[in-house]
Amino acid sequence: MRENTRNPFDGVKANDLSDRQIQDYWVDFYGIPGVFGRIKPSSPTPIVIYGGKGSGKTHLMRYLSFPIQRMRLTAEAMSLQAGLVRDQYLGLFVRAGGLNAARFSGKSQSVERWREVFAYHMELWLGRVVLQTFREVLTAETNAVDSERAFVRLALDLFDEAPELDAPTFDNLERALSRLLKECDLAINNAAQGRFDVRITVSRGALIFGLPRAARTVLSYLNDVRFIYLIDELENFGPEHQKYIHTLIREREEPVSFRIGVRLYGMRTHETFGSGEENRAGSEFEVVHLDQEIRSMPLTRLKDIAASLVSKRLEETGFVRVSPGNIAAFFEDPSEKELIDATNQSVLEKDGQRERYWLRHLRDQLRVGVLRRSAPGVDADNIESLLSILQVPDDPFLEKVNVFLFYRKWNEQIDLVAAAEQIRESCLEYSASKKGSQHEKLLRHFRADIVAQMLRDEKQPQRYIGFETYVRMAAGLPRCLLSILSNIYSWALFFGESPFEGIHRISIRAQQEGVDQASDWFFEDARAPGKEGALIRKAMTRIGEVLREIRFSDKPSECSISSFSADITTSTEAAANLLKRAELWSMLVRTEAGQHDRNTGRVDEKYQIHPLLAPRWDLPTVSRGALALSGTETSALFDDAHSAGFVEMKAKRLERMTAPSFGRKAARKAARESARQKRLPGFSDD
Amino acid sequence: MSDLRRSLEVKLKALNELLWDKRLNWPRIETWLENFVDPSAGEIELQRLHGMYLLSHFTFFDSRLMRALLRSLYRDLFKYPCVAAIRKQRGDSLDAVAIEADFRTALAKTRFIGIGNPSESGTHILYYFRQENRLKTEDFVHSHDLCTAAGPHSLQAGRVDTIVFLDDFCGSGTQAKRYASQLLKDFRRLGPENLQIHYYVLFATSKGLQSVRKGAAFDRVGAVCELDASFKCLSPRSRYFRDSNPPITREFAAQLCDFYGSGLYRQNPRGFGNGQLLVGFEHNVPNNSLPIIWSQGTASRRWSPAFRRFQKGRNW
Repeated sequence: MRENTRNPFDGVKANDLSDRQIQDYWVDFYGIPGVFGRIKPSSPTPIVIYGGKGSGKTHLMRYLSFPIQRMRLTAEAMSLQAGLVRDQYLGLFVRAGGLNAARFSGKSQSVERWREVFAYHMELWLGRVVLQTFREVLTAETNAVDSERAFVRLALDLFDEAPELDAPTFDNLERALSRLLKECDLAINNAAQGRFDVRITVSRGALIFGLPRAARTVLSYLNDVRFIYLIDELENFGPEHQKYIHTLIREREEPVSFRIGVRLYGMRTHETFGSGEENRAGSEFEVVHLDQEIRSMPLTRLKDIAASLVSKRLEETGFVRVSPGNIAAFFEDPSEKELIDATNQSVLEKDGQRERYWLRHLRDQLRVGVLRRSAPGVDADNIESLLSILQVPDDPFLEKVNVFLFYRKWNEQIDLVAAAEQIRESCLEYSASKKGSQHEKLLRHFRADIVAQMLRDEKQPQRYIGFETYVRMAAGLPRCLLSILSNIYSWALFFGESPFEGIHRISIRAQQEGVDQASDWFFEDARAPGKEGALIRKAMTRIGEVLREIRFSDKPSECSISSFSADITTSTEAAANLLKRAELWSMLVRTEAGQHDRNTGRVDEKYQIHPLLAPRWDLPTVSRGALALSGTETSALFDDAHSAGFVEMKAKRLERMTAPSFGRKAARKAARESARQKRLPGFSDD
Repeated sequence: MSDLRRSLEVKLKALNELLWDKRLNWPRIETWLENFVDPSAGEIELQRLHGMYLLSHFTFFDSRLMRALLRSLYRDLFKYPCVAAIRKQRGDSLDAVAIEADFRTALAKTRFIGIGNPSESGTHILYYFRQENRLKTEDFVHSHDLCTAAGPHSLQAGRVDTIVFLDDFCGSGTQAKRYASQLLKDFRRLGPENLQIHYYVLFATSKGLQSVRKGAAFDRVGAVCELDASFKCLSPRSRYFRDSNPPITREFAAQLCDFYGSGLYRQNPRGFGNGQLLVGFEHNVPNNSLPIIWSQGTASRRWSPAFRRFQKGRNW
């Protein structure tokens, strides 16, 4: 066992990885045309890369940065010059979060003043990054000293008031930039003390665009090389600071371009300074939706990518090299038939020939149905014979299917004794592998739900097992996959297993526990902060409960339900907003096409519960059916001010799927009459 | 699996990974749980849930933590009070050089000695204590070194004016009192009038400390971690059952510990001196902890311990 070794799936944040790990763990999920084809670092058009938390934005952007670029070229035995000429770009990575942008506001200073100071600070900050990077490029050159002097002189010309240097060297220029930054920081941090004396020595854009131009002048082979500012974590900038970035994008000069990484919820404005015009996607910049693009890939491709990722992680942690094609084999993953057989076996061992839960439950409902006159053809005397028709003592699964089918017949209000006979016929046909039986048709849609109900009836956990399931559950967020695997790995060790070693297959139990823990992590940790986060979680809990109750109802309206459509045209605005926020925080996954309302033809927004949250409410990870929510229902679920209506909304929904009345007014009326006629007129209990 | 069982499993896993140095994985826990098989003690699943609950409150101090505690013992119980006394003597002086010099002088006249036989845990910790606090081997002695008429450690010759007894654990205080009773008399007889004898221990129950304070002639007694009555896990004041909800109850846990404990440690089913503790160390588990945690059973009744205790041998 490898108890004392590092968990190969720990270290899930790209910010925490070393340059070497960024290179080693990289898997190009874009295949053909590859990340370079998609992010096009040599293209002048700026790109905004949107992605949920853990979608791999930072990894991607760091992969394009100069340190990794150089590492890659070294691995390919290419000189820096040849490599840059081939790549046609030079990546300058910065994290917006590292700037602590919140300090550039307030403190009794005007918005305009802060705008100038922020721009100046950014100028110096990004200018220093260009300088440090170009210095490394130049070190590889033979006539580096002359080029250095020439570059520094050009750089000094860019200032309105150039710093004085003893000699035109990188060291002196970098020191001067650092000193200016320090002076600026000192003034910013003490702005509240009254004096706010920042002397702006360089105009907006002068260094950001000018230094790359100077680099080209000095090194002619850079003439076809683009300088790409890779600005990550833009969500850490407020609207005013994002305006500045948009202004840079709008005023972009050669040979510079931008790639901006931002969380789904993080873009606060597209406005620019000056005329106040907005930058538009498709015009001033292009957009890449990272997790959406990953999600839209075929499952087989996603599985291959995930397996490569796992294989690299294992190798890096010291495991014997495993081909990506063999990764799935490390997980115990019974087929559906094997799972049903195992569940059958467990039921038979546990209950023996004792009547099973679903039959007991049905008997209770039939009794109520008889009382309410809502069980056609059934009376108190034939309930037992009816149940015996549905019984299959040796095959609990088939018996459960019979009962499931029976509820559907009951809902149709046909004679239930005849219906039970038909079901028995169909059961026999199905057992004899005859085509076209009712059982076959039902199982085509509801097999997974029936298995899920059976597991629940038997108080067994739902199954979220197998590598493919985990790839699906990650839903475009690589960090989710790593979190699932990390938890499974540690549970397997705890259970005394040897995961990813030899022929050992990770037990179902370790997989179950790991997935549950990853699901908890996602719900608790990967959420919006503050009040908004609390509201999203409450709303998610409400919709999760509704979907769970539907899935485990007597007659579920939809199969494999973990999605819903919402009529936001008639819901409250707050509900529509919260839905959007839940999507931006990756709790919900929006389906691009939406869903047509059956009555009006209106296209409603359609969302799936993020598959990693499915275990919280015993939902499927594959979504087939969707619950169509009216505006009122949407408000009850997603607007906290209307949540008082949630209980009633849920009850109404479930009534239609619950025996004996299945939501029928007539049945309810009959029930009321029946209750009234328990006693003969004029007679009391005495 | 019930929610309770699952939450206990999750907790035990976290403890195993973070605090127990990965000594107790699930197969070992399961083996331990399989000890609870007698239906006379109640429903088996309920017994095992209580077992898991008690285990989930077991505090284990690995060597890293023990070393940190030994640093704390030296610093907080010995050095700082000594420095405070020096400053007081010097009129609340802040002269660091002078204070350091005085402390070195005081340390040179101090000897550390383990409680108990050289093979027992009280003396076992001396090696790590010396390493962690960068002390000299000359600072540590055997009791007979102090009783010689001459030599570097002679009390008679005035070479030593402070003796510090060290121990890892004080449960009832019986051992410390028994060991020190004659020795302290001899030391006082041989040593200078101002001879100071201290007793410092890593862990002690409040009752044990009280007993040592009353029953032995130490000038100063102290513990790094004092375990008050709330650490008696089955007592009405137990800290472990304050937030417990049915089906977990203190009463059932007490019945369980008594039922199995009486077969494991007849006179002390809840641990020596009715300790009822849930504490163990890297080098051993004190017998004041619950026997169901550490016992290996008897010749007629095997018991798989969760954290094994290494018992002292008996000469019979």
